[in-house]
Amino acid sequence: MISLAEFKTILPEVILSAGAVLVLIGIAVKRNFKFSYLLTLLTLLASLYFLTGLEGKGEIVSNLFVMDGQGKFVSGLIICSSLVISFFTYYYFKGVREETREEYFVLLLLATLGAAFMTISSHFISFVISLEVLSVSLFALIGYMRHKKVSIEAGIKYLILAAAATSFILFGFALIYTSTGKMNLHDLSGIVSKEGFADILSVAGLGMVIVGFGFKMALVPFHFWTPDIYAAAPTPGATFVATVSKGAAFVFLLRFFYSIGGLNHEGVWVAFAVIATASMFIGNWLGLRQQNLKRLFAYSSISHLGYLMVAFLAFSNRGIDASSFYLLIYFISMLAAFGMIIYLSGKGNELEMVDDYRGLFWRRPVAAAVFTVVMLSLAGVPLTAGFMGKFLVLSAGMGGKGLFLLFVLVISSTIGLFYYLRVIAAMLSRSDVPAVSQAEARPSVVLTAVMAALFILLLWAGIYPKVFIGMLS
Amino acid sequence: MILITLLLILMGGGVLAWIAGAFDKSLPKWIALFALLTGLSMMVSFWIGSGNVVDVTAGGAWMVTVQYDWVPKLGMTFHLGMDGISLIMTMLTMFLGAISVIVSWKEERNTGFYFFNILWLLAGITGVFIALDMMVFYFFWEIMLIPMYFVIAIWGYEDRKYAGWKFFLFTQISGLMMLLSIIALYLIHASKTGTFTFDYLVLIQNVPGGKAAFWLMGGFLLAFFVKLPALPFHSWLPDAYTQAPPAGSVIIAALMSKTAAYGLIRFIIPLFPEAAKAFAIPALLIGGLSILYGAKLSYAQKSLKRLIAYSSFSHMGFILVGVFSFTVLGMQGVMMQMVAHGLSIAALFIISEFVRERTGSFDLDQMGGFWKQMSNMGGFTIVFVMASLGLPGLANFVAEFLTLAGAWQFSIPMAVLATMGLIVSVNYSLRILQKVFHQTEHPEAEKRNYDLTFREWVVMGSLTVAIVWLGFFPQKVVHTAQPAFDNILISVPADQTMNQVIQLDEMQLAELNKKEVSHD
Repeated sequence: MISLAEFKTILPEVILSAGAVLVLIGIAVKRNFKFSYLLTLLTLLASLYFLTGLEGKGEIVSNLFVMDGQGKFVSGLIICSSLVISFFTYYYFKGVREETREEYFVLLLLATLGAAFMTISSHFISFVISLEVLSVSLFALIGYMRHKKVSIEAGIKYLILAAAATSFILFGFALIYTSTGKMNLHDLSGIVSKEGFADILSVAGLGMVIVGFGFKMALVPFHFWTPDIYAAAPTPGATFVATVSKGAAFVFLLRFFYSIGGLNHEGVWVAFAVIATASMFIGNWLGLRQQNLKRLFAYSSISHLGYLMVAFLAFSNRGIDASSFYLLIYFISMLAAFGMIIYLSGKGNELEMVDDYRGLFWRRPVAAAVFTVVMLSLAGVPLTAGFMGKFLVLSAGMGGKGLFLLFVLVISSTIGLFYYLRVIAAMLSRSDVPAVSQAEARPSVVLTAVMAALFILLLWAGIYPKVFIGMLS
Repeated sequence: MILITLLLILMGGGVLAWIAGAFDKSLPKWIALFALLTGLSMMVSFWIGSGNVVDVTAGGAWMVTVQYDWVPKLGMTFHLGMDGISLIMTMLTMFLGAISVIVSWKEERNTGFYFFNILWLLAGITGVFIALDMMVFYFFWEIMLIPMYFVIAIWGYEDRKYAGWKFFLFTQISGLMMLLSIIALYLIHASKTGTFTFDYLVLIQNVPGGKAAFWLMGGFLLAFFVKLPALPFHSWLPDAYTQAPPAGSVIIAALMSKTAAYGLIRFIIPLFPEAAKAFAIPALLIGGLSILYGAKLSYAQKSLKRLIAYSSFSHMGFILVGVFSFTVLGMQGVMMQMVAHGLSIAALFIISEFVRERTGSFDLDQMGGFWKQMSNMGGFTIVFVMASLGLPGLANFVAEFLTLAGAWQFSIPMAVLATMGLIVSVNYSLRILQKVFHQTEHPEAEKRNYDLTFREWVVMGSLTVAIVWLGFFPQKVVHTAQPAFDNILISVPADQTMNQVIQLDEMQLAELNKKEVSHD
């Protein structure tokens, strides 16, 4: 049995699961899209409310969970993102009649539940269970459009790869357990020292775990699924994959390797450094010639996860702070980027090609200005949040052997600038007639407000980040 | 407070111009002009008011400073300050800003957004001149980029997109290298003293030494060399300078390149005195070669605007020569060069624009014999061509003379190398006059050409007055900037200080000694 205090610590997650069940019951009684939507919002808000009441000082719940500073911060971030994604979902599915739409919210809540649990897991078992809750919901979220072949294909692709990744992680954990007999991260602390590993089994185990996480976070060379999934999934689902699922996996990776001291070992450090370098370069490089905006965001997210690994590789408290802050910035930017696609697309035809945005500056100046700021934030240009994130990562990674990674970051992010500028240049171009003459979307008030809020956050965090930095630790 | 007001006028004016542009096409230019003239009169009245009361002995040359909290946890503060150098540069920025607004008076395409960009660009430049916190400095340094990119990419000429990209990429990557240096400087300072701060005035009290200083200086130098531009980093210049619209060319050549010169004086020398001294000979060599190579390229151009663009590159070499001579004379030369070159290059770009408005191209082969129809314009062109080749009586002569005199004290061969630049500059400068206004008359000249309009008279007239006035009374500028330079040169290692003491009179010597004692 867990105590009342422990129960309180996981209350946000309990609310999420209760909310999912409630939405499900609601659907059983009477299908109503709006009701499911409102109930989802309510659940997420309640969960967020109880989360903010927590201390976040490393409260332990029955050996399985630990609510530390970063866990609390990223859980909050995940719940907020799900909130924003629910707004997107409602707007996205409002005009779609051919699907049963209500279940999307159930899946969304379950996926959020998995991700939130993952960020506070401190035990192999709790991690694997929350990972499966997340992944299984994601298959359905990605392949939700049953009438579209690409959507089903994307769902199956993700299913196979995610299952493979999970099995890698499971096998890795099993090997580590065989060699040490422990599964709690706290007990495992320090199994890796500068001199090396306890034995060969845990080496193999760690290797497997790295591969599995590489898939989950779409780091190079395990990134091949990302562009296809992003392009084929319904946009809210793609947003979820780009932000929440990657962020949650990253937090557990960080907790795992920091507590076992994995980065003390030269070999592990180099392996991660190679992965980070490759992600930064290849992510930015492959984005260069992309004409599809969603694929472009996929490559962008690969490179951003590469930057995040630079903070991870700092292996210090500054690294933890910087990575939390970077996750915040990355979430806001990605949400805003996908949000702009949803916001500007009319019903039925999604504006997913860069060419669709030609001359947007002259047709809808305000929307185009917001989109420009979002692009600049992804590129990490000062005055936008993206720069502050990059700045913290650079200062966390400064010094010693990390210096090489900083140069890689600087050079690759300059390469990346090319494709962000290309989107901006397309919006600025004067050939006024858009390639596809689309029915201009009817702006919904709620979505406009959400986009405005994201826009303000982007500038606020970029210009006066005191509040956001104060939230860390 | 005056500093905050200045920035607010520019940024607020920009936002206002954008909003006003939605209602009326001609309102934004009036707003922009009004904002810049207000800023200019504010700075000039401040200059007149404080000209004689600058306190040299009080351990600092700072006339005004303000400091607010920004991100205390990371040691960033919103710290602005103004000394003589900043004061002159902000006045120049406001003046040339107003000129560039008048030059683009006929701009019709999206005027609201256009003047928003111009004003924010000028705000970025002003911010660079008055920032006293390294992160504030970096922010303003980067704020310049995006509006400039937009100005080139939206309102530029045929190849504007390519030029915009090239400009953005060069400046962005070099800026990021400087950011790495700034962060490293911050961490080194923290590990030495225990305080995490980006404050310039604190950082210069405890500068890094040895090999680290050299690498850190490299990051800063890269950013400044690209923006100046200096020899191997100039390939973005002809594209950006020529493809930018008239106001863009004026700002990029006359003001933006000065931010790099300012950075060399403000940051390289006080933060890395020893490393900078060790790097002096290569830097002087780069400067001297930039002068000669730029002059050669300039002479070879067929396009009037490209010719002027390369001449700007050539003149920027003098800045390096002056800064790396580590003498008061050389520094004062740089100060004068920043102002004089700003005025003369702006005037030349504007003339090229006036000619293009009439003939429809920058092609020198399409010109000739224009004096007949446009004698007033020809007259003004003579003034600025003479300024460009360094005729005594105009401000550029003072600048180049001081620079070379300073360089002579440091290294005679380098001074000789740089002096060659004065000879070659005659070639390309006179070529402007000859190709455009003399030679056989172009067949269509009579049909298309008309002399200066009233608006154009105002522009050229005010620039001429400024450059002649500075040619005869450079002492005004020199006197204002003197305390700031004394302050900066204190940090240079001892034997150089000795070298420069010879040049100062008794009273200044006493002051300098006193300051050195108090500094220790």
